[in-house]
Amino acid sequence: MSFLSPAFLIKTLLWLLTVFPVWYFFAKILVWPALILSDLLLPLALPGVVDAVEVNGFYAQIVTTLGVQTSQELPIGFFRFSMDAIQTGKGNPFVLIFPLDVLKYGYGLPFVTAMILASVSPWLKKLTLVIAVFLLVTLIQTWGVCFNTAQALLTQMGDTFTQQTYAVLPLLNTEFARQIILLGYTFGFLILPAVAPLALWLSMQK
Amino acid sequence: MNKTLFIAILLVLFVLDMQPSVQTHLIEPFTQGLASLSAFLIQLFDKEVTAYDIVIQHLGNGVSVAIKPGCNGIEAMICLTAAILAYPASGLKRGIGLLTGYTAIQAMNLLRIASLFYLLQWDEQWFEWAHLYLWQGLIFLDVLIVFVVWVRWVDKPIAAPLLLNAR
Repeated sequence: MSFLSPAFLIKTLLWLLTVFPVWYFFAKILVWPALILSDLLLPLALPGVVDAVEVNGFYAQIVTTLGVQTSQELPIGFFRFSMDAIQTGKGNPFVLIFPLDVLKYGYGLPFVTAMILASVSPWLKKLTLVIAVFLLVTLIQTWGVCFNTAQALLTQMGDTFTQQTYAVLPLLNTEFARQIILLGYTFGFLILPAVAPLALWLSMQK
Repeated sequence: MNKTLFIAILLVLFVLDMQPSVQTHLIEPFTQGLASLSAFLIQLFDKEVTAYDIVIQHLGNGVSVAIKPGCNGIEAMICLTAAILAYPASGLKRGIGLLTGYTAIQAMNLLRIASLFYLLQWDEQWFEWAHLYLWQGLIFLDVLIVFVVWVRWVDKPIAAPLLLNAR
């Protein structure tokens, strides 16, 4: 069966029927490494703005340090009470947290896995390839979460939180920084999830 | 294929795509045309569908979908363009590859738009699943198939009748 022959494509689509539901079923486990990486990187990338990244199924729950005095200033449903503010009476009682879908950056994994399984090669090589693709997709998902967080803070959470972000990180309040974030987010959402795993798989083919 | 050239062209086209002037004068009119064409095709079997701007709407139940960046096939076309331009071939063959490829991508995209439109009317959760995960992958699988078919056509060995005659 030659590379991308009709037989190979049919086999890929048949494998996809199994791989895709399995991928979705185990999504909460598969995104876990990306969430751990994001939890390490985001507080470093956005210090004083992002406190932590928590796990919520296959969503990354972005916990910020940004807050407001009244719930009306919040995007609907995106908050947590600040125990510190409630106990001490200082600071903002409503802290901004918001969810990000991590899985939308990882759809390349089931597709390329189906192609790997459909190809004619030893099972050990197939397993090695699948692991390599999984590691790559983990990095793509981490990229996605990080840039999505920055993009959401600057464009989706409302002016109050955008201004608070700028106050903590003045460097973000430049056209250049905004363009880099938009570019990183859009590239990470529209191009990387499909192209990078496909490119990796193609480079492994003779 | 020259991988460095592929990445360079991909990045240049992607950055160009994001420019406001390109969005206003090229991408948005293209997307509006795509919405109109989608509505026209859907109207062949469902008369209660209309399109305005980048939106397709069902007049019966009011459900509508907007074709936003990522759903107009532009990124897939950008990837195919970068791949074909980075592969050694004549200008004519590249042109044929691009035209054929764009047609194949948009044909798949029209199928995506129509299926998602009706999936949304049936069940929002299934719509989200198909929209965010399944169709994104299928479109790029389409790009890969088009590219490989084109490469096979470009690299097809030319018959050598002189050698056969010499025997």
